[in-house]
Order: sequence, then C-alpha cells, then structure tokens
Amino acid sequence: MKSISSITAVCMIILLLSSCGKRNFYADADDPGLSILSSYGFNIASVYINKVPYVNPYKKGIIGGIVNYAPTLRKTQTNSLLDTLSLTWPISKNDNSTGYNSSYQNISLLIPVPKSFSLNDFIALSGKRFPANANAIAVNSFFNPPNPGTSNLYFINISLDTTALSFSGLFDGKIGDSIVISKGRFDFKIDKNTINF
Amino acid sequence: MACLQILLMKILRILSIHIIFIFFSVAANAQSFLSISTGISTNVNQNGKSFYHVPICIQWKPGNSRNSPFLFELDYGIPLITKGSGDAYSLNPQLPEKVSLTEDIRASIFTISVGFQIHLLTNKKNNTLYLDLFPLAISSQSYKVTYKNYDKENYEVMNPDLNRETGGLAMAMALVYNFGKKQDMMAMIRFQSPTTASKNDYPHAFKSIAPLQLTFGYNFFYKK
Repeated sequence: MKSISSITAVCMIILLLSSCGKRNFYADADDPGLSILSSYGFNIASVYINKVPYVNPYKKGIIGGIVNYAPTLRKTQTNSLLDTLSLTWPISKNDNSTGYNSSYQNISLLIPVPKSFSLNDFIALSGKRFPANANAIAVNSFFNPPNPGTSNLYFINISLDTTALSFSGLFDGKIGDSIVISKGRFDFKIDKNTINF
Repeated sequence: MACLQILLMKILRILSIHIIFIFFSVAANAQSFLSISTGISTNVNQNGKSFYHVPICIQWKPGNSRNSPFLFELDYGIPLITKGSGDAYSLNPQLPEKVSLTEDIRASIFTISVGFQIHLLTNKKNNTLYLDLFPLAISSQSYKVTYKNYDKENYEVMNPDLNRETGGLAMAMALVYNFGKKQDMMAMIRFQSPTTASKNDYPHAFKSIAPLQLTFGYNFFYKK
C-alpha cells in the first residue's frame, strides 16, 4: 500500500514538473517577430534592434516544460551622487537560430537612482514614463563590451505580492549612430529575494 | 423505503411508455424535407461580453421511411459586431501616455450536425412539435478582433484580445414547431454545446461559442 502511494506521489510530481512553464510568446500582429504588450507576469520581452526582432530565450526543464530566462534587477553603487538601477536580460534573435548566432546577447536598461533607492521607490515608479532620453540603454555581445546610449522608458505596471515582483512596460533607445532599439516591451515576474535593494 | 420503490417503478413505467411512444412517433412522422430558417442567436457560454449572430440554418431529412429518421443540419452564424474596449500606451513624450480604444469583435461559427428527429405533439390544427437531437456536430469557430482608430506606430495595446480560430466536436438539440396550412412554416429554438476543449493558455482567450438560437423559416417537403 505504501509503495503504491509513493509511486502515485512520484507520478504526480513528474506530471506537475513536466506541465509547468510555458513560452508565453503571443505574436503581435502589427509588429512581426515581437510578442504583444502584456502584464500577466509572462517573463517575456521582445524588441527590434536595427529592425531585427529579439526576444529573451528560454530553457527546457529537466523533465519537460519551458522556462523563459528572467531578468536581473540590481542596484549598483557608483562613486557619483547617484547609483544605477540596472534591468538586464538575455536576448536572442527571434528567428529560431541559436543564441550564438545573435549579434547581441544581453540588453540593459540603466536608470540613475538616489543612493537611498529602495524597493518601495521602485514600486512607486508604476505608471511613470520617464522624460525623453533620461535613462541609458546598453546591448552587449561576446566580443564587444556594453557601450550605453540613451533610452526612453515607461513602467506601465509594477506590483509586489508576497513572493514576486511583477513589472511591465515599454522602452526604446539609440546607441551611437549604428544601433537603433525600437518597439521594446517587457512583462516580467521575478522572485523578490533576488533583488538587492 | 417501500414507497420510494413504488414511486421509482411508476416513474420507470411512465418513462418506458414515453420511449416506446417516441420511437413509434419517429417512424410515424417520418417525411423527407429541406428547411431553411434564420433569426437571432446569442452565445450562452460568455466570458464578459455578449456575442450575437444572425444564424442561417439548413436542415435536410433525406429519408421518408421508418428506417431513416436521420437529419442533417448546416448552421452558419453571421457575426454581429460586439463592442469592447482596451488601453494603449505610448513611449513618445510628445503624445499622451495612455489612450482608450474601441474594439470590434466578430465571432463567427459554422457547424455541421448529424442527428434525428422525434415527434412530440400534434394539435387539432395539425401543427406539430418535434425534438431534434444532434449527438454529433463538428463546429468551426473564429473570433476576429480589431482595435480601431489608433496610432499603431506610437501606441501598444496592453493585454489585447487576440484573434482566435478554434473548433471541435459538440452536441446540439432543438425544438421545432411546424405550422401553417401544409405545415410548411417552422419556428425553432436550438441550443448547441461548447466544442470539446481546445487548448489556449492566453488569459483573455475567448471561450468556445455555445449558441442559443431562435429561427423562423420554411419547410420544403418532397417525395422521393
């Protein structure tokens, strides 16, 4: 009897693990290659870099299912009056090629914040559209270090529950004369314990 | 306990008499016909919005012998536009951060059904009431969503409703009342179940349509 219960429990766990996790990429009919703008905590972000669609990649679970790569949200101390809040996530071309074929591997939104910036201050950014070019944006590849340009950023929704921080919004930017970042949208949900502020 | 048993026996006896009567009626009232009807239909499997159609319904009962009570039906629901709303957001500092949008949703449905007809009643004027049962129906359904009059270059719709194509198996039943001098006029109330589950993970996805329709039309009886 005990062994039947154990087998049933193992089967249930395998089923749960194999069914959890989805890509959550819902194509935007107006912007080919990008996902729609959403605020469901899908952990999906997409953007055009020089008109090529990029999306955060995913990994497959050990048993099954799909897990989208989540961003890191960190505050970095600087020697200046302001620290930097960075929101960084991996990207790859949304054309079924592998990440190694992409020109860029990461994208970062860099926001100058006071030294005292806290999680509550971040939540208070919900609904805030920053003034034009108030923030920085950077993309990097394996061979080229990030070289920040200017960005526009709009946090449409930010919310916190007992375990997770959810935030969604829009962004674009320009790095020098050669890299144009457009139509960016993100919908993230991250463990609040991963935040360092 | 004994009373309950007696009551159950009585119910079973009445039911069995009805079943015999019904099967007898199927044979007794079998007649070939083609009917065309139209009217109004609403979706009873709603998720927040009411969807209406103008149904075009064609019924064909090919056989007139007691051994062929089968009935075929084609239904197409011409969608009436349902209005919805949404919000769109812009990064462009020259434009308002948020605009409210009007949304048009067209939900269409096409169904092929196979079933049989059971005679229920005939009154003094020879008007008849039938029950049509369709244990097998194949239904194709689609939702088309359009957000109107907004700057697609500068605005993005938040959590938009998405177009959806779905389909599957369903069941249907209808009450049909034939009237007029030659029983050539007909009125019908028809209900169709939602289709068998089709997977869609998007949170705002529309549910499968389950139309409840009222139609009026004409019967063309013919002899084979």
